[in-house]
Amino acid sequence: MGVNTLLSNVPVRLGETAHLVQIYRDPAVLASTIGRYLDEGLQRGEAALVIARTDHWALIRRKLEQLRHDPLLLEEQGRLAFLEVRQTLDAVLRDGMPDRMLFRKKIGPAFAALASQGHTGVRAYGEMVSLLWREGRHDAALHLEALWNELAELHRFTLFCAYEGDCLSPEFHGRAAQDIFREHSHVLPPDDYDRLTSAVDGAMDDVLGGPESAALRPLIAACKRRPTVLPGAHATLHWIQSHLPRQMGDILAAARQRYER
Amino acid sequence: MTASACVVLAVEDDRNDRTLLRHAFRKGAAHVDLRTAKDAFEAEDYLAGRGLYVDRGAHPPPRLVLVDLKLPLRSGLEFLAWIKDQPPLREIPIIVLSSSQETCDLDGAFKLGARSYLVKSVDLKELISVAEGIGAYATLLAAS
Repeated sequence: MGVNTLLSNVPVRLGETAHLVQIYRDPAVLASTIGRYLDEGLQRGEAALVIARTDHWALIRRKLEQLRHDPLLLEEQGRLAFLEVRQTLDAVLRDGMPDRMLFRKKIGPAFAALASQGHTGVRAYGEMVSLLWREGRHDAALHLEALWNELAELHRFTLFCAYEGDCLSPEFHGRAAQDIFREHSHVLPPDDYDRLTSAVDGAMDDVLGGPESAALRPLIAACKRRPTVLPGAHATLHWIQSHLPRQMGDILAAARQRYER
Repeated sequence: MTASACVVLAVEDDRNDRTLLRHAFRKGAAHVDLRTAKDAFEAEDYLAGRGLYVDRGAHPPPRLVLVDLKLPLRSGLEFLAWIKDQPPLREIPIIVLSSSQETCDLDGAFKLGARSYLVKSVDLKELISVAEGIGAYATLLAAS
């Protein structure tokens, strides 16, 4: 399933929210995805909040312009708001950990301002968790994700989180990453998802053997999961990590080789 | 506890389901030595090597365990909790094979250490496919 298909399935009915996450390597590709995500919301009468690096914000604005939006006008109309990510993160941390009161004090008014304009909902995009993750502060990132989920009970919004990194890196397949994924409703595939799927499938054949991989695939597909929706290649890697952890490193390495061919 | 190459223990109270499972493994994973227990107490005796299962030559430790959740006397979740409390056993992969799709069962099973949760199918082809996968998994576990 591609990103566009998943984005078009993001719930928009009153009272529904979604908490999406994607791992990205290329900021330009990310900006294109976020641009489409915000565009869909704006077309449905929603407002948008972006908490990002300024260079990413410039790319997202450009994408919105390509999609025939006028970001400046939207900001003046109170339909689009931007917060610089580092300043925002610093404002919500107490002793290095996200603090509930500081978080609500900083983020709550931004949502309240957008909501007061009578929009049908809010689409938010955030990079604070990515900064924490990149600094190795995984517990802080997890806590911040939980605070976002708490906030979603007060304000109706859809949130898109992006983590900078390589989705075939072991760091995104350990316990900390699984905990992060569990805080989300959907893990979105990368844009070149078919290539990733093919690389993971091929890596399973390389490492486990063709017949074994072929026999495992229906078993993996049949496994029921906790609420987070995982795309196929991620679900496969998640299964390998929990069932055959000793083979995980070899499979990730083989997938990486195939992915970059 | 050293597990034997391809022994799989299935904990299933329903006689028809046990018969179907045996058939599916014969068709899809004939290399698997499928042992069955009709309730959690019998399965615990098997895993602990107690009572009728003292002879490890005749009753080798399993590579993995399949468990139904809706069991008499002691539920599948209670069985999972028991395994979790047994240090020598807790590394054995547990795969739940249940007709229940209730969130509480799913979450409970994962919290208690189940690796996978499969919904029982009445379709024999699907059951054979699951047996093939479990057979491949048991083989890979034995090799690793």
